[in-house]
Amino acid sequence: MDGPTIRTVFGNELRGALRDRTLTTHFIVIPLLLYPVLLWLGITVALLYDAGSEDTSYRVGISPGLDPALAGELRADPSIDAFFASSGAETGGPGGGFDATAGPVPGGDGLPGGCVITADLSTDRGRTAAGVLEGLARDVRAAGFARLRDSLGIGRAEWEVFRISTSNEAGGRDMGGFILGLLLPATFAVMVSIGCFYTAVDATAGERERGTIETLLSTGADRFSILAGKYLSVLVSGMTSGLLNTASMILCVSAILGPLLRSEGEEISFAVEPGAAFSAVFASALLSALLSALMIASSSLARNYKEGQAMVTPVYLLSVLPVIFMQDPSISFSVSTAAVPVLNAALLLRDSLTGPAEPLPMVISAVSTALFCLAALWAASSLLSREEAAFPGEATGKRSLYSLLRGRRNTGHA
Amino acid sequence: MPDSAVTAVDLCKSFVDDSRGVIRAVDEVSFHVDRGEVLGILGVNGAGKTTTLRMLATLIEPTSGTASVDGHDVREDPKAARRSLGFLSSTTALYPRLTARETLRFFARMNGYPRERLEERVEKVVEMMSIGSYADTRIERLSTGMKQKVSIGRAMVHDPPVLVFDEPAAGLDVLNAHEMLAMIESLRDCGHAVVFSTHVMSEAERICSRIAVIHQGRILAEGTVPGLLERTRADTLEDAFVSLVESARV
Repeated sequence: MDGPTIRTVFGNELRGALRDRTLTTHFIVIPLLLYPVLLWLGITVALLYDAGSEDTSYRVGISPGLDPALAGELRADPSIDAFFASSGAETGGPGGGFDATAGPVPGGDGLPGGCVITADLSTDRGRTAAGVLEGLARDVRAAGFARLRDSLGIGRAEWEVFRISTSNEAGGRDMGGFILGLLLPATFAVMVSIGCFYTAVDATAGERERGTIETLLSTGADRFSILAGKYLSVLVSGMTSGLLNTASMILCVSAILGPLLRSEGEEISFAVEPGAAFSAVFASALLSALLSALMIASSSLARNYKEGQAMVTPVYLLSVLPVIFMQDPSISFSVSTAAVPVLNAALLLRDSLTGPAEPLPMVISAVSTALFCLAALWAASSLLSREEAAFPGEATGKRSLYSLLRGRRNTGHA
Repeated sequence: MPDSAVTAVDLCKSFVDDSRGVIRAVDEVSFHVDRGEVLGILGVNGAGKTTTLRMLATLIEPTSGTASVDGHDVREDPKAARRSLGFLSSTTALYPRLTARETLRFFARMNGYPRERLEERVEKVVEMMSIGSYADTRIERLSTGMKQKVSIGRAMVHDPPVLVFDEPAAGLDVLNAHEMLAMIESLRDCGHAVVFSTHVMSEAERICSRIAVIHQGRILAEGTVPGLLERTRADTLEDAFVSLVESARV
């Protein structure tokens, strides 16, 4: 390996990537703006929904014999247009059918009377109307209980019999770490992957499509150093993507979610401890190192962007796997999970947000990732040393990937 | 051949094709090129010119035979062989997002040019190629002729003793082709050994010290233009070429 060659290729690849709008969009702009845009969209949609729901009213039929208190509540509720129905739920009021109907259930055999709510629960309006009716019916029942308690002369505390309350001993910082741990790791893996994806394809398949691979391989540089320089540039773009995305999420959550939770009486801090920040950088490096190597290796076979994207997609999907395991809180960053690539980085990030990570699993993660990376880079280097790497399909008269895989090694392997 | 910058001895290259079987693209090709000399490799499309030159550039490995560039064997020390030559073909493209000056800098570094003299050398090449007016413009914004000038600069920026040009005028208009041939002449006059492949007779006639006619992977004849004319009793190089190829077919 030749240090100056690695530095030169690395600088060239990174400069090229920073000058390409598509690449910068994928490894800088999207990771940075994803959460602000998502939050803005979420808030806008929520506001629109609230504004729309304020004007919405539900047509509710009141069947004869319904508890007068409940009937009164229904008529008084502004979100309900109540109509007296002469018979069952299907009876239409003026202009069409009801969203829901409320009818009486007679008491007897030791059971109290009440109401039955009928609605078409396969429709949004039916479900919402039934929910509103149920809420009002519960209020009427609660008022009934209060009247009974008063008539029996029982105090409030006696009536409650057994009080339950929960106290949260976690501090504001712990809760902030917990919330970030829920939100971050899943998208973190995807973002690192996106950051690596396009730069890897550009550095390999893009080089062939542009016709620069022959120019590059005709220089007096050794193949592995060229590959190492390209690998480092992909790694840096993946790490940049992951870290920008993490910073963006923490800022968004602190600036928007924090004040909202504080207004609800929750004191939550989203400040990140230095240890957690180090772990985030370490996790980002682990994931980028592995995905870069795998993506470089898989796209080394490709002759153009289209083929490169198709070949890198399985690696991209691999990065989505941790999302599945993240849902299980019993899986944590430990000696056994530290050896599993991709998952180890996501778990390390999640767990480090709620407490310091153990050094031994971190070492195991680094070793495991290094082994996978070396295997992938060895494969990529072998492919780059074949004649068809510079002239895919041309020299042998074949255009299949199979020909590339079984092609002759060229003399420029030094 | 004590002063030969390039020697090729019995170079062979075979490919395997599923439908056509074993193809002998280059068949026992031998030649040498001295410093300050331009060897023209003349042949029709598919004659084996590009494969021969790619073997010199160590981009593909000879099936048998050997070659050396500035004393470095292409099999034993391919890295040193590549550092001793500048390779340019119609398929060696430039990085579109780099400027012309950045391109020269990048390829000088890739070929191990001393860091302390790099900037001076880049500026010299910029001046030699007369590309100063667009040296800081990205390659993607340059015309074909401008790109070709930068390409030649790219091939010679590390000051290699040997230059290999594979059909460098392909796709260029008359004026740009003329200018490019003039540059190759000046490189020859500066003492570089140049291997130049083409199928355009006038180009070969103008700049080549010697010519090797290659057909179906074999060298049919090698010599100066007057020597070839005399051997084939032809009036023009084109007639001499046709005569050699026709006699090989028989």
